Amino acid sequence: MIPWRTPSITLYALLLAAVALVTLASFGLYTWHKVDQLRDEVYVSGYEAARQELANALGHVRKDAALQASRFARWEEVRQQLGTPHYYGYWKNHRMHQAGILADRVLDTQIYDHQGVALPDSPTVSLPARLELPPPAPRAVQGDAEPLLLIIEPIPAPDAAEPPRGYVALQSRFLDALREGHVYHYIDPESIRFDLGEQETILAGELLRHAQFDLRPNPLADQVEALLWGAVINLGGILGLITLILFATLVYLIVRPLRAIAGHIDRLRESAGSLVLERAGGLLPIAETEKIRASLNSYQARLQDVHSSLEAKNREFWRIAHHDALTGVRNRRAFDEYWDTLPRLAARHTYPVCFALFDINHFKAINDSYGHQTGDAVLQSVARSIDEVMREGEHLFRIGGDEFAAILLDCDESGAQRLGERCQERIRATDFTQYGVREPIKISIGLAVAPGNDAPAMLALQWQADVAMYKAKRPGSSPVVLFTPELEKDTQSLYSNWINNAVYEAITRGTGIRMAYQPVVALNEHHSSYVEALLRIEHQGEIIGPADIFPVVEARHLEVDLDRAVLTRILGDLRASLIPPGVGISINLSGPTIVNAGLTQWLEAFVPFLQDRPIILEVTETALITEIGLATENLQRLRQQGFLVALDDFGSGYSSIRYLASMPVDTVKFDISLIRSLDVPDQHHIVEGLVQMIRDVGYTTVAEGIETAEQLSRVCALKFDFAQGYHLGHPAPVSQGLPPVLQAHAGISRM
Amino acid sequence: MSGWFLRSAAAITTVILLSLNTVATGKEASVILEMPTGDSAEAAYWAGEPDMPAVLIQHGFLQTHHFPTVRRLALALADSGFTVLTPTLTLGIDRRTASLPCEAVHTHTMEQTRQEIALWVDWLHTRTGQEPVVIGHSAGSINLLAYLTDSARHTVAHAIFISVTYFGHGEAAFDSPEHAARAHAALARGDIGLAEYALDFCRQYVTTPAAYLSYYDWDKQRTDRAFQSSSAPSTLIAGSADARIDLEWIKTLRRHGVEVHIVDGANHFFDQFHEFDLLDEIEQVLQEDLTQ
Repeated sequence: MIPWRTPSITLYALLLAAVALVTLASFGLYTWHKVDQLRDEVYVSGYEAARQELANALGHVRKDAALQASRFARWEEVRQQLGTPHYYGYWKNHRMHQAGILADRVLDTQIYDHQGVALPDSPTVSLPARLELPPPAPRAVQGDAEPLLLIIEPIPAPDAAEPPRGYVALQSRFLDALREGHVYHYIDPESIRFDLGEQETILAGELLRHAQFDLRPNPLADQVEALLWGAVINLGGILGLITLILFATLVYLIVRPLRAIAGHIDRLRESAGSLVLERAGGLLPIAETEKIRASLNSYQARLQDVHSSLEAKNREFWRIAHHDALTGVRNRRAFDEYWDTLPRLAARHTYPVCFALFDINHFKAINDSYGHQTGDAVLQSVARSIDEVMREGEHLFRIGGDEFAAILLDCDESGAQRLGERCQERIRATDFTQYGVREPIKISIGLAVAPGNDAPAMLALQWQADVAMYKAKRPGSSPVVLFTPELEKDTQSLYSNWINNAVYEAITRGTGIRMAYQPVVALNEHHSSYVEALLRIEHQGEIIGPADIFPVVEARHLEVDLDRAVLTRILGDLRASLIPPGVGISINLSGPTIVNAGLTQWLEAFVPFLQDRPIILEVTETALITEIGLATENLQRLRQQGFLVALDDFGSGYSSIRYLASMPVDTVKFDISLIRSLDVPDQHHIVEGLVQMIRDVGYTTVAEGIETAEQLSRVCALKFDFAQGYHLGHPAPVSQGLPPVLQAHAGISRM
Repeated sequence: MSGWFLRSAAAITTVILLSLNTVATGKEASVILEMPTGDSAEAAYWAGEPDMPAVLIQHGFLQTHHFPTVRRLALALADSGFTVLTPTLTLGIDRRTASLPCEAVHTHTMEQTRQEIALWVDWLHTRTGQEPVVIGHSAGSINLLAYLTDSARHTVAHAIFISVTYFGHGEAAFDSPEHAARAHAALARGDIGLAEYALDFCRQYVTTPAAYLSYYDWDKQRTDRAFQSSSAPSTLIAGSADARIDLEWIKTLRRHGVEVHIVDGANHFFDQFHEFDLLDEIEQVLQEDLTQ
């Protein structure tokens, strides 16, 4: 099917002109036809009039001939010839024609007696010697050069009652009389002729049927026709000229402006939109088109204003969206976009690309010690110092709380090393005491370099820089570490590519997540044992544990995504009743998840299960401290819904009692390091006192890392509420069934 | 002569009188009479008062009774109560009604003319019982004179000759002795065919030699003799301005006892005002006859 394309105004204008011209031509043809018809009618009318004229003339000729014959027949000398025919020949030759009775056109005559017998001594070549009686009607006979009229007239007796005394026959030319004796208006008299055909004689009354003639030129009709044609031609010419003028006017007034406007719109579409529809020769000739042009320009001007405003706002939005509000450097979004474009950008060149990671050492402690305002000032100062080291066109990105990154083009290993050193020098030169910070601020720098046209190597840059950063943060290591293959071997177990892939797939697709449940055994009759859900990732038959998972997750800042994937899997196990009612479950949540505004919504699906079991949300001390305000708000709302909150790994970090008091926590899980301290002389008292204090305050306590019976006895003696460790049960998938210690608690919802 | 009489009698018996019995006095009627040649002749007839004379008016050479001079005179006399008959000579044409041109074929003769006049005089006499007065105009006077001369027992009471002239060579006619000689020569050699002659006022008179001579012979001398020998009282009326007659000759006829009246200023046809002079002259003559 041919696609329909809207015709242009030019086509319509041409179509209009064509229609006008076709109409004009049709009018001309119609007029021509009518004039031709009129000419035919005039000819027919003239021909009929001519026939009537000829009929009248023939009637007169016949009448004249009859009168001639009658006068001749009544001539007394004719009667004298009948009485004394002895001198008929003399009389005919010497007297008859000289008497003036007969016209010159009478070619021959004959006198017959009452029996139709010609008088003697009367030479004649064409008239019969004897008549048939009664005599025939007047006839036309074929003459030598022209038809002749033959009339036979009875010679009347003096007494009308008597029979005719005889007869006279007159044969005469009549064509001359026909031509010259009448005034013809329609017939050219010289053209009158008769064609008797094969007949020698016809009745005189039939002459008209054998007549042929030419019509006189009709000057009036010709003049009328010429005038008519002239009028038609003039009218056609005028109409044609008017049509062309209208077409040209249409083109000038409408088509040209519309085409100019359409062309302008096309150019606008193809250009940046800064064109202005010029006024060719002033205003457009039509008010409407001028209004369209003015409206278009006005609209375009307003559009440009809006466009400019939007561009400014876009630039501002882009700047806001791509810059960190605190430090002013570019943010994680800008980093991700730039990183996405980097392979295409670098592929065009062969120069090396350097990826640098910057991390402030012990920044959380600084925040804790000097407050967020000081921490923010430190972040701003560090960012400004590093940014000042960047070359023109190079950007610094804040990709995490105290993590920064930079991508340097045309920067090889030595250049990367020099960059790191300059950054360190600039940080060292920065006076942080102005913010009240007394300790020196140090940063760790992980560097990685890859050829710009080596796409796989480019994709490994981040991971390599992470490895280098990991190395730089190790005690005793240089704060500036450039990734090398040897360094990769040291951290292969943690940062192998397949682990990365497995973690990514687990988070993004939910594949490979396998929850293992470790029993948390109640140590008194006031509580019921429950299980802690622990993450495992199965990839190609290998099980990846938390020690390999979380460095990757934290390095990629994928904590929230991972937590949501884990929550989904646990919810599936609950809905599948793999964890029987009465058996509580403890779920680990990362710091970013706790402070996420969507946490309450994500956990709404767990609320129905709170009816028959406790659900404990385990958070780390570090996670709570990072943004304690938002975290407290979220956790309080969840506690109101029935969830319990446990502070995990207490004793592994700062373990601030001040923080603990302000945290919305129901349970404190003592880190394995504190449990192990019970076996260390001089330290077990502190732990015992701490346990006593926390328990007395009202927190439920959990001893982690119980690996021996002795440790279990100790924690029991210290009146821990729960104990957890390999001695009591290893983490295991629910497919293997609940540990025996929990089976007795199934159906009990006490904590 | 007896043959002619028989033919005349036969002719009389075949007279066609158109409703004469019903013709009122003074009314014109047409009378057709078959002539001895077999042709019919027509005359106009007005029945007059019984005690008034009957008048026969004879037209001139080749004319008819419709000739104006004849017609006017006939009407006037009829109006005066006279019985009038104005015959037309046939001149060889049956029921001739028109004057005969000079160039026409003339086969008639003076003899035939005389016979026709005799028939008409007899018819009028028979019709009225009176001896009619005959009036001749121009050559018609010669025709009457020929009748009177050759008819010893005519019944004419009086003869009036108006504008009388004669045939043959003379002052007022085209007749010539050469033509007469040519006619005689033709007759001598037996040529009786038509030829052109000059007769009276005709320069080309087509006729036979015998017919021609029958008129030509009535020249001045014969006419003079005829007047001299005529048994009927005769009156001649002529116009003083008539160029067609030999007025001096007419005057000489008085010596033969003929009464001659010359109308001063009248022409050959007494037309215009002289028709009344003519009528007065004729009525005077007729009145005198009536008185006698």
